[in-house]
Amino acid sequence: MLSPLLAIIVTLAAYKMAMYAAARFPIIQPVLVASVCAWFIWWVINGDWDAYRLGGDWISFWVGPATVALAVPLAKQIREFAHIWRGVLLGVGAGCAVAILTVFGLGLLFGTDDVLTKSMLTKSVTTPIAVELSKNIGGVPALAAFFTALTGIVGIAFARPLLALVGVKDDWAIGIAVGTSAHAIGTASLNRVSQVQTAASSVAMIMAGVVTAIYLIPFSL
Amino acid sequence: MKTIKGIILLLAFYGIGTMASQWLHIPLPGNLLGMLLLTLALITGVVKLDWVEEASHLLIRHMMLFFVPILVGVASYLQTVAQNPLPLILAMVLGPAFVMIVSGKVIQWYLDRKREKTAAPTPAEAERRSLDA
Repeated sequence: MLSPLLAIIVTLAAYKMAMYAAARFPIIQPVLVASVCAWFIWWVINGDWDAYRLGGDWISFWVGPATVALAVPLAKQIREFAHIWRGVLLGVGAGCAVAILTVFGLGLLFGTDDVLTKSMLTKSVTTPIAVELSKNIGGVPALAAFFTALTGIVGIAFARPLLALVGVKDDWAIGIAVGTSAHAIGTASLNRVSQVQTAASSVAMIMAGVVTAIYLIPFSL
Repeated sequence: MKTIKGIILLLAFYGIGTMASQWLHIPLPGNLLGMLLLTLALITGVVKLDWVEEASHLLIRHMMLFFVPILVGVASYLQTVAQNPLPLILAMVLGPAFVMIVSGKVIQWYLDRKREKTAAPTPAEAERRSLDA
């Protein structure tokens, strides 16, 4: 009865701690630190993951309205986008193809289990789309959600240095690269930096979902 | 008060998006459809930016918090996956890195080419960029 409440408090406290830490040491990824902290605290004090989910759902519900809220930066940048949409489509299209090809390549190289490979194909796409898609192509939705979340975290961990290293420096290019590879988690991480990058990342996230769905049509037949 | 009004609108668009996705069988989730519909409403002026701006900033600023329970829940899969970790680790690290480089490079190339064609940005554009930065 009380444990969902406790789960909410633990999650909020872990987030607050992670934000403090990130303000002091900018290299820290707040989502990752908050998740590890919340996971660890819950494991120590309670350990009942069903109870955690009951409380956690109250918080994760807001992913929905927050995604809708991305319409605001998007609407502000729409004129810029209308100007360069061809390049954006090209970049997202190429990125999504690479996402699928790396999974296949590694699958062939290591002889990975077929279901595992299929659950990984959707990992660069935002979670709600990834779950639906993986159902269609014969993956495991929960595993797909796991790979998607992991991809997002790994992606934001090295996004900045990597993109700087290869000479991607425009706000739009950075936003699209992060949105295509690290979906909503990437988009959320950009908000601390720039409105333009957030908008670009939102666009890329939607496009990547649609493009990947189209690429994967052969597997859902 | 403005924040509450904005939250109501965001929830309403989320609801509309979810219903549209279910009833019309659109293969996009409700939150993304809701985002597209709200963008459309903002561009056409059906919804004023002022109504939703505060609420949107609040939710976007704390968007990472909303992902924490999902990530915690998903941590239990680590054990299932740990049996054959090498290809998975490679996929998790190389995948996003390649995708990022390719999509970022393509657009950077496109923007650079475009800039060469049009030379300097228009004053309005330059002003907007400096405001955003």
